[in-house]
Amino acid sequence: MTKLNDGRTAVRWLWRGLKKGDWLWLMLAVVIASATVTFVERLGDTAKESMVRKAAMNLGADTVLESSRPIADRWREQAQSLGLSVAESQTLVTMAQVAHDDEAGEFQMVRLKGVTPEVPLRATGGLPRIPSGSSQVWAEQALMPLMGLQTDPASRIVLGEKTFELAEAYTSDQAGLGMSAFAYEMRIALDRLKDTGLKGPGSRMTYSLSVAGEAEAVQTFTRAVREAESPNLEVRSAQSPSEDLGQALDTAWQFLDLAGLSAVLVAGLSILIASRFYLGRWQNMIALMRALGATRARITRLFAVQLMALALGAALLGVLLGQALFVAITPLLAQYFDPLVLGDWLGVSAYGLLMGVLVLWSFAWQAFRRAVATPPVALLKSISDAVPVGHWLGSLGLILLVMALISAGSWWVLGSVAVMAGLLYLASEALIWGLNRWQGRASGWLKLSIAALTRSPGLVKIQLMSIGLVLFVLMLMTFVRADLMTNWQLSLPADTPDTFVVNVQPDQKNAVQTLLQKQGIDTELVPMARGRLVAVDDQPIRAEDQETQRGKRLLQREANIAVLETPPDYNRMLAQRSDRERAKSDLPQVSVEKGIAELYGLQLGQTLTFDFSGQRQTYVIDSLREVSWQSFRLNFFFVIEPQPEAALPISYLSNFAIDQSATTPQELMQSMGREAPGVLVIDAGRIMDQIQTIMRQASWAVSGLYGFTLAASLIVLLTATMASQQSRIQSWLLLRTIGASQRTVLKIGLMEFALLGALAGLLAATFAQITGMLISQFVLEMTPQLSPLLWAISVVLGSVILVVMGWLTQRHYLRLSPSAMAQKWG
Amino acid sequence: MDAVGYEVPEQRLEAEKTSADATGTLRILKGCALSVQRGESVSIIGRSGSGKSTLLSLMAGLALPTEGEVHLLGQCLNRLQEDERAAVRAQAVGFVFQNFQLMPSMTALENVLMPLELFQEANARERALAALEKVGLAERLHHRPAQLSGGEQQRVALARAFVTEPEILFADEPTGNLDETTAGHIQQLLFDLNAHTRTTLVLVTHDKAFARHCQKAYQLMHGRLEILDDEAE
Repeated sequence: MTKLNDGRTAVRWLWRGLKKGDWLWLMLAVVIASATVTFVERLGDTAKESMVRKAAMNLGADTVLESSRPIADRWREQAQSLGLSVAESQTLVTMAQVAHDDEAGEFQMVRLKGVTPEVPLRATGGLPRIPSGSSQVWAEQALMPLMGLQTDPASRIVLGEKTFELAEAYTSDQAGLGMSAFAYEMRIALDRLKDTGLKGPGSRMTYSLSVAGEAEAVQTFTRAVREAESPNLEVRSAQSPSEDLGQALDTAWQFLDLAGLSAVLVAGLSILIASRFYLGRWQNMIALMRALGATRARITRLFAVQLMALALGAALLGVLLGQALFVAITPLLAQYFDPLVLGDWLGVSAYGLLMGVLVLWSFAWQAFRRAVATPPVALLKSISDAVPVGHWLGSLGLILLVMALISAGSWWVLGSVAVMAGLLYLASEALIWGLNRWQGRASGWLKLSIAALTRSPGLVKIQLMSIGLVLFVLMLMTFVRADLMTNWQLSLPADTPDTFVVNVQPDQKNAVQTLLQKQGIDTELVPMARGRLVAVDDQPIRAEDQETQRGKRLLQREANIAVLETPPDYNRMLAQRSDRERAKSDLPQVSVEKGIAELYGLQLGQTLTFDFSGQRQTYVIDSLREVSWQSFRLNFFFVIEPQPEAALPISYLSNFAIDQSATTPQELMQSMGREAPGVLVIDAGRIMDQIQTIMRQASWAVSGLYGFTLAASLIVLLTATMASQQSRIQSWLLLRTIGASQRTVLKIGLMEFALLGALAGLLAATFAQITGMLISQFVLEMTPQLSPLLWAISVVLGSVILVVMGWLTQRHYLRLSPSAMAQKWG
Repeated sequence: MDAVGYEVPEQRLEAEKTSADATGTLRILKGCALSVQRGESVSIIGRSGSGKSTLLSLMAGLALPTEGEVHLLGQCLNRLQEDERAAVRAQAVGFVFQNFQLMPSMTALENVLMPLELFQEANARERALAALEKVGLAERLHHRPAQLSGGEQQRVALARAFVTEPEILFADEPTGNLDETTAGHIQQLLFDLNAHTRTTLVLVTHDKAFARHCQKAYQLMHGRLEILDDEAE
């Protein structure tokens, strides 16, 4: 009963305080925390889900299993038992011919896909659903002009031994992988595929099992398939649809996580500062209550209930605000994300609520603990209200723990924040020491400004560290964001090659070269051979001995191996053998891509043996290269030195940016079909469009989150200036009383803010620069860039922001008469 | 019947080290012995730093002596845990402080309501209103301390102290921060309330005239407690 009554009393006191604005700063901080977390999570989820859905639509499913052999039934059964929708297809590359009454039409290489009626599981309206047993064929729109197809009267198309009537054309965002994916597609019912007679021992079939459904079930299924490590199965999921997209998406996910954590940290800091502001007030009240006879347990209860009720109420308000903000920007989001998949609101709300409560408790815990331990004798003898730095670090430790619990996998962020806080503390010690020395030499109002700062060094350290951390987080985000944008843009320049020509036989080389030149395309045909790595240092290398799926897969397939005197100049050379080492061996040389070298533990000087259609050749590793897979240039895992005596099965390939005003990939395809049959022209524009769309969406989300964190950070800076308000105003009062002019007080006041901002900016920029470079290098795997301007900007920005905030929050007091000031604050 | 008794033979406190050559230990009270009966008014006078506030904090159980015993309402405070001492205070102790110790964010009424609400006493609001009316602040109920004069603030503190009808009231320099005229009014009010409620009063002050209003007056010199001797002063 007493406990219940205590609860009532606490709520009554809280309500009274709220009405008078006593809890405003703490409440504001919790509202910021919850609103930010809710908004960021909701936006992040929505961006992620929309992008994954887009990728799923491109893929036609959430996850697709592909194999060159029929896929075991157990996978279909498992997917169905998990409640997932399942669809199957089989694809082969073949020649299609239009059947005319009088003459045979042109042949065109197509990707023929037999599908079950469930295909596609995920897509927009463009794709056809093909009923079982249908004797019609559906053709991709691009094939219509290419083959001269029409629907009225319907063209008839010969596929193997059967003739199908064209139903209609369709457009597809879907793109497969591998070379066959670049041929245009035709679809028929799966059960009619065998009638064509095209399925046979020699045909290179791709069997696919597509699944879609609840995210959790999809993940369970995908994980199970990956864990089975079946070497013939390739798993493609919407989460990471291809290697090109995977890297871009991973970077975006990491930034979204970073933004979310930054928001929590920023809001937490505002609570820390606000709680320090409240500590003195709580201590007085608690000392009085203890003198009046309240037990410590009771006081703890009364304050805990108040804080908890405040946390819940403010967090709820924050969640509502975050959700409202999100709803407000939904129309804008719809312009950037198509389809727009709104993230789960309930889970995010619960998370926002929990975070508000946790952030309040973890940052206010030390102040709370310290306050309830106030002895009653504090009423008669003043006790120190200075907060030891250990308190600050303890709070930071707690919040890092909370952040660690909610963001498993982001330990590097937490670690860097912890290290940063420690370094900031040391740096702020040094700055205070410097300020003290400066104060000795300064004079007039400047001396007074510095004195105002050094009066309570503990508080200034906390302010410096808090403002420094906020600015640091902002700088870091600016830095990483700029790096992201620059690298993404750099990775896809305007003249990015969008068309590939492959399978050019040596006797066709000149004809193809001439044809391309006629179209105004100036490109070189690169010789290559298809081969499989079979031995390292004469020891066989087997797929079954490899630990990783990728390691197994790459050994089972033939790779495109370039045959060049030197690797392409757009590859970055990482290591090369010295001339002395070269002299030791007379074997021909091979240059190896870094990722492959790491995968198989390859080093300079080792020998590699390749099997080229039964012909074995051995090479010595001469160099290691780094390749940008996102660049769409011709890249190879291996580049071997040409050997006139080895008769390798050479073919040529090339890629280039096509000038759409001169010709189109379709036109080129037609003329190539005439001049050099068998040569494949691949239009990669579709894949690039997908990547660019996804990157555009990711960069929008990144900028949006950045803006929101920036706004939240400014409010934290505001609370930081408020923390020392009382002592600042008391010193102004003293100055005014002894006759200082309003102008002098103004100068002193604003200089204090400018100094604080500049020092914090200096600290923040230095650490942001270092951390940003480390993150770029090691986490985002991008080339770090040094920004000397960052320091100048940070120092100026820190000063300007603090002066503006100081002016906005303190101008009222600066204008008060000494007596009015005394009445309010004396 | 209950007697309010104090026996404080000796008190030692650990003092903060203030300079390099300080010993670090300072003996503030030495063999102080004092007994206060129910309904009595007792004053303790002494110079600044003589240990008056320390003695008051011991008598109220806010702190413990390093030696000797303190009895309050028949209970030996030395043998009680902090929360048990708090329970003793909760039954029957009130305080008035030199710096008023009002909560700056609370109105006059809320400050007086606080101890009543803390112990969930019945008719809290009515009693708080009546207490404020008694000290002449019926018109200033919703003013915050910053909006009240020093004298008004101390009146709020008196209302807060008496509203729980304590058996014993400890007053630490209650007029120390006030001008002479206001101090006079507050002293009068304190004794009126004391007479009216028959509360035991323990008053610590440096004002000799104020001290002499009490039935017994002691002075604290060099850590020892003696009957107030005008000649010696």
